[in-house]
Amino acid sequence: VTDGDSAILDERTLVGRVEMLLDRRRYDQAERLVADGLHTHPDSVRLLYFSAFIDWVRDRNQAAQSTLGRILAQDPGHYGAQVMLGQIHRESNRLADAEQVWIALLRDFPEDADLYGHYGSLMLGALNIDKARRLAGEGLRHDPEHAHCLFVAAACDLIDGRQLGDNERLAELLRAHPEHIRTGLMLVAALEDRGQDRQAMRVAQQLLRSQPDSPELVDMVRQFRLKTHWTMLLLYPLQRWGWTASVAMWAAVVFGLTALTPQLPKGASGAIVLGWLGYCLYSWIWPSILRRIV
Amino acid sequence: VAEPPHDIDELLRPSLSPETTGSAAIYSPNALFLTAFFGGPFALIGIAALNASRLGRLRQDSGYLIAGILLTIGFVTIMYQPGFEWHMAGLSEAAGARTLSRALALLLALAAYLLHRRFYRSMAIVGLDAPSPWAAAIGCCLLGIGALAAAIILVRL
Repeated sequence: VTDGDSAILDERTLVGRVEMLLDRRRYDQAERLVADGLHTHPDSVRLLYFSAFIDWVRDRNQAAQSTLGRILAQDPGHYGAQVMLGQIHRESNRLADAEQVWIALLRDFPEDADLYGHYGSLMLGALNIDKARRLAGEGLRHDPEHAHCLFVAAACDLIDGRQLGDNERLAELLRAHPEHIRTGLMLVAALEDRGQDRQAMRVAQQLLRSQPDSPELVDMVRQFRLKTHWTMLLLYPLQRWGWTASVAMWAAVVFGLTALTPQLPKGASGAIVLGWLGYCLYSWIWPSILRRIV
Repeated sequence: VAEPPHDIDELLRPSLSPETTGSAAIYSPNALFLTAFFGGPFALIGIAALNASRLGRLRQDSGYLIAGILLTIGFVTIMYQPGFEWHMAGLSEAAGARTLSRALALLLALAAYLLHRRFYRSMAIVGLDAPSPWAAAIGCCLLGIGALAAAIILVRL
């Protein structure tokens, strides 16, 4: 397809060609074709939708949102445009606006598991775990193997302490959608939660091999390389048990020191406090230095 | 796993306020403990209230926050009343009051952590970073130290 061809193509043919290019992730070519097509068919909702989609995948959210506004002005009930708008609101941290979009869509399509997955995922990010669980459950009632709803439900179960062995949703996700990126991400989270960082890194590396252009996956593998670096060994308790370890260490040092100071030799409690503060500084500063090095 | 149907109207009731922007991530336990350590019990209650507010649970957590305030006022009333026998505990007044105040603040920090533990776990699993605590922690420390000083002055009047 050359750029000049688009002028003589009818809308349907043009849409077909753009879909084919998008399927192959040839966004540059698709973008040129859509731009030319919009000169000939400026009000084509399909072409406007593709234009918004390309802007969105290229992280030009403002341009995408402006195009979605044009689509929804012509066709207020356009499903794809509303779904994309909800996702853009969420990515732009306008959580309440995203919630309004999902609620409006679910009122129109109350049996759509995709929408329950999106809304549940939003609630998960807003730390409203109970609602996320109920939304995922409702989605699974309509589609028991829906990947996004299983992902949200498995995450909720993981948050409430159901790990790999006894997390039924995660088992179902692994069984029904082993190829799905969300499955891999959830497996990584579950392994990390169990302190199996090296195994989690291997899964993350596999995911990166399947999607080498994903900046999120690159960042995830990098994070695991940092966590498993030998200089982080001293921080193992904090990495393994997270904030619980941090709380326990604070309590042990502060209360232990208060109780033991009278029995300790002169100067020992001062040395312990200095050592502890040094450890705290190490735990705060070293990971960010290492991030720049690795 | 079979799912029972949910009340769809209840499920589709908005739960985020229009002002909600950014993530609902809350200040980390380290921020809680440092605020408690340097700012005392009122400062800790302040930062715990900010966390509750970020989670949209201020009303649900208000009972715990009020209990923390009452506990601190009770502590100040008992410990700082004129003639309290500090030497009975083998401590000077200044050192004893400071140590106990800090211990109370750290215990309250532990309680605040436990109150929001599920959300800390969620942040770890969902991959949300805690917000920068500096402005909130310094503000709470200043207000907390001021409130504690005011309470001590009132008790000693």
